[in-house]
Amino acid sequence: MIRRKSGIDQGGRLAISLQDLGQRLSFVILLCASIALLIAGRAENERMAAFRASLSDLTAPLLEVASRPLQMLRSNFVYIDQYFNTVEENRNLRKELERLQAWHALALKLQNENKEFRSLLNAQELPATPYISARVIGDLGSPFVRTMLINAGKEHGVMNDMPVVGADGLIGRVVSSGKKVARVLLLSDLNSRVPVRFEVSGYQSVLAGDNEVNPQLLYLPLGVKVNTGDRLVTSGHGGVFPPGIPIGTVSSVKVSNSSSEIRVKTFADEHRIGFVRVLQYNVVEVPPGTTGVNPGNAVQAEGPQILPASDEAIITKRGQ
Amino acid sequence: MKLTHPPGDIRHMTAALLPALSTIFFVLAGLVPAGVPGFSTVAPLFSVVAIFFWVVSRPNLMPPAAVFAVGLLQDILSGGPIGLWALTLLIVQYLTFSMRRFIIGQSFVMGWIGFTTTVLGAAGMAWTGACIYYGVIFSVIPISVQAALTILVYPALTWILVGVSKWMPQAR
Repeated sequence: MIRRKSGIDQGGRLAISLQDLGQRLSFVILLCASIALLIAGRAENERMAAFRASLSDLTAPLLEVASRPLQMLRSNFVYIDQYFNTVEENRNLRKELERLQAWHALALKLQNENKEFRSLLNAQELPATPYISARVIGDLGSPFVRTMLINAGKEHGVMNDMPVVGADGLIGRVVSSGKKVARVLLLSDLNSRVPVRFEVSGYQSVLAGDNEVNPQLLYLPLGVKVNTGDRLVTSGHGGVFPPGIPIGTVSSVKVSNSSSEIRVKTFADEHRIGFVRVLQYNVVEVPPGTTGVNPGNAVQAEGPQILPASDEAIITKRGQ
Repeated sequence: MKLTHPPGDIRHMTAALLPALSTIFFVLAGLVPAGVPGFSTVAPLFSVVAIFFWVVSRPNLMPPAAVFAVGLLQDILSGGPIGLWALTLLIVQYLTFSMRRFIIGQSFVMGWIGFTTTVLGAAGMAWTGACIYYGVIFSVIPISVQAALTILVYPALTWILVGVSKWMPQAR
């Protein structure tokens, strides 16, 4: 230490100020670099998307390793959570079972009937969609995007725009698939738009995310009666999602003179998804410039929104 | 604040990497599926705590390049706009560094106050950046909750980081 004092002092100070200068310079350069990256990302071109997917591939193993212990912890938490509600849950389940047994009988009867009719009509059967199962390794992770990372990618046959479903219903679609991992855009994300249909009435609509927990319905035809509890399924329009995947139920209908807001509670709980299925549904190419689903681009909800007239939206609480 | 690096001293070389490694670990901890409903949307900004700590205690081991890399990693893993966290964390580094002389050697509470300022700056930056990027005014609630949680976990995480830094050879 003493050796340093006299001779090296000046040189040392110079070195430190040089290092300081270098750090300042690199700070400014990197600041500009991050802004440049943001601008490049905004342009959303193919190359940026590919770059992004390959980076996800590189970093995903880190997350996968890190997620294992937490996954274990999580299952224990769920267990504890359930333990306290056992009695009530049992009661509810028994009731549900009774109800469902009746439905089960009916379903079997209808299935047979359906089969008969189909053969009578010589109807075309839709081919079953093959799927790939994957584990969720990365969570939503930010207040601004609602996506998750799954541990299957191009190597496993996961391609962009493939629909992703959970045990309960639709979760979203693949937006960027790397070699070994893929990112899933959830229904609640700002950029998510899914063509949907009311299961009973058959009315078409678009389920649009806005980063809130429950996404909302857009472009409903005039005069449609919407009730809370109405079930929604994918309509199959646009070709990205196969028709008939369960999505959720209408959870709230707010109507004022100038606007209406219909929110949907999805069957799949985004926060409790551990495993997903990626449906290898034939993705229909939509030529650029045509209206339709435009994968990867934000479709802003700006156009004229067709709303149900205020007196038409009859809200009845069901399922209570 | 200069580490001496005797050639071949593994401990010194690892020590030089520890700040960056611990920060990366914190980034991962904030992103793995926690299974608590809604938590991941408002998970504390662990990386901000780590960067604040290391810039105050060992600024030369947390250079802009390391901060940038950590931010980029967070961007890629979280699926947000690439560059947003890189930018935000660089701002965190700048804010922390400029406050450093008021914090160093002061009480823990002073550090906490300095940290609060930094987090608020970072949250504001991230929110503004995201709003400009997406062209939408986001709700300020999730990011505010995130900032508040980050401020709350500061003591616990700092305690962990103090443990890490004690293991490192002292700066000479």
